[in-house]
Amino acid sequence: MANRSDKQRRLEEARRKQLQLDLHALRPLDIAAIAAGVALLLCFFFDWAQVYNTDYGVEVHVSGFSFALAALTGGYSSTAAAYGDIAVPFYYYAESYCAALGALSLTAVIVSLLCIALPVVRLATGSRRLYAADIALPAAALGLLVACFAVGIAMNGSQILPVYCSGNPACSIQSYAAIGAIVAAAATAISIVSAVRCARICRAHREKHA
Amino acid sequence: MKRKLVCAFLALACLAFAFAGCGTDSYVLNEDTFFLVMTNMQYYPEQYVNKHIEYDCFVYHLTDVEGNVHVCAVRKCSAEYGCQCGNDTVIGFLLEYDGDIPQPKNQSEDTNDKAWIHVTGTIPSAQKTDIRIHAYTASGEIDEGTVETISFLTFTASSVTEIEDYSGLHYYVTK
Repeated sequence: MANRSDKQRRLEEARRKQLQLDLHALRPLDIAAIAAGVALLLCFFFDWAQVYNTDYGVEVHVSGFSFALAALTGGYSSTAAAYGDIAVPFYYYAESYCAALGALSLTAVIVSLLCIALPVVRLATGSRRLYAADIALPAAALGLLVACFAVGIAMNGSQILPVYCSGNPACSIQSYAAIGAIVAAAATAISIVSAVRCARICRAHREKHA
Repeated sequence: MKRKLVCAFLALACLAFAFAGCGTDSYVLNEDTFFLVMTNMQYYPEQYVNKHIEYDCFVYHLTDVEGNVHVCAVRKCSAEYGCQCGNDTVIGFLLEYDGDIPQPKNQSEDTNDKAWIHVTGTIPSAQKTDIRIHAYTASGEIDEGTVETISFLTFTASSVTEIEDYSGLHYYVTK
């Protein structure tokens, strides 16, 4: 009796190890997810809002990190270099847009950090449990960055162009948050592929040993 | 536990660094910071009320429609940021000072040879003073039929010092 239970235990142990070995094939996807998360964070260095003059180029600009920092510290009217040109003209002439962009950017930064943390934890612990957050986090980052892009472009309807640019038709407000959205879409795709392949491997094991 | 404490400390250090740019009590403007900080003062004066401020500028006389002369401490700049004061676009303050203030020199000319001064003092109030001036025509002549109202913050100077060597200063400031 004892020998049978020992044998059963050893068999289950062997099956678990085999499953872990098969799931090991997903590690490159975890590394790709981390790389996508890092690329996503780097996208915050792009200008979330800039006044572009076709005659002179970029006149004033604010990066995604500057908006996130302003939301964190309340420094929308600060002249510190970390905030870019947020004080004048952006916050002065488009206060509600800046407040919205700040909140969205700060949330997106936190979500992006979690998008990196989750696969790091998975690699470190070897745990392959599927969590809703695996797909939800990069998808949330995608939604937030699309919203950042929309708000950035919507600033064309604020007082910045008519007052700061004196209605100069050569001026427009542009946003590169769309680049972050594209990277977030790639991160979401990676997480979906990883989740699907993990589910297939686990199902195959269950069927094999049923 | 130790790792959590280190992480918490790093997070606090980052926050402290982030807050480092806020809440300064003294502003000494130089050629690198003049435009940005002076612009910020015009748009968000409440942040700078009663703070110690020092900056270099030139003397500028603004004459209103009644012939009163208002002494200003300014530099010239572009229209997006400055005050269109008749024929010139300047950025700066109305100057209140008990002592002697030099007479302006070449105030509207495009030359660095002006009456440069170093002023130290404070902005006592975020309230701007409205001044009614005559507009200028496209040819640069005074149009006495048209009146404009411009607004200036007041700077109360505790000291005004003439600058002898202004070779390192720029009368026109831009971003």
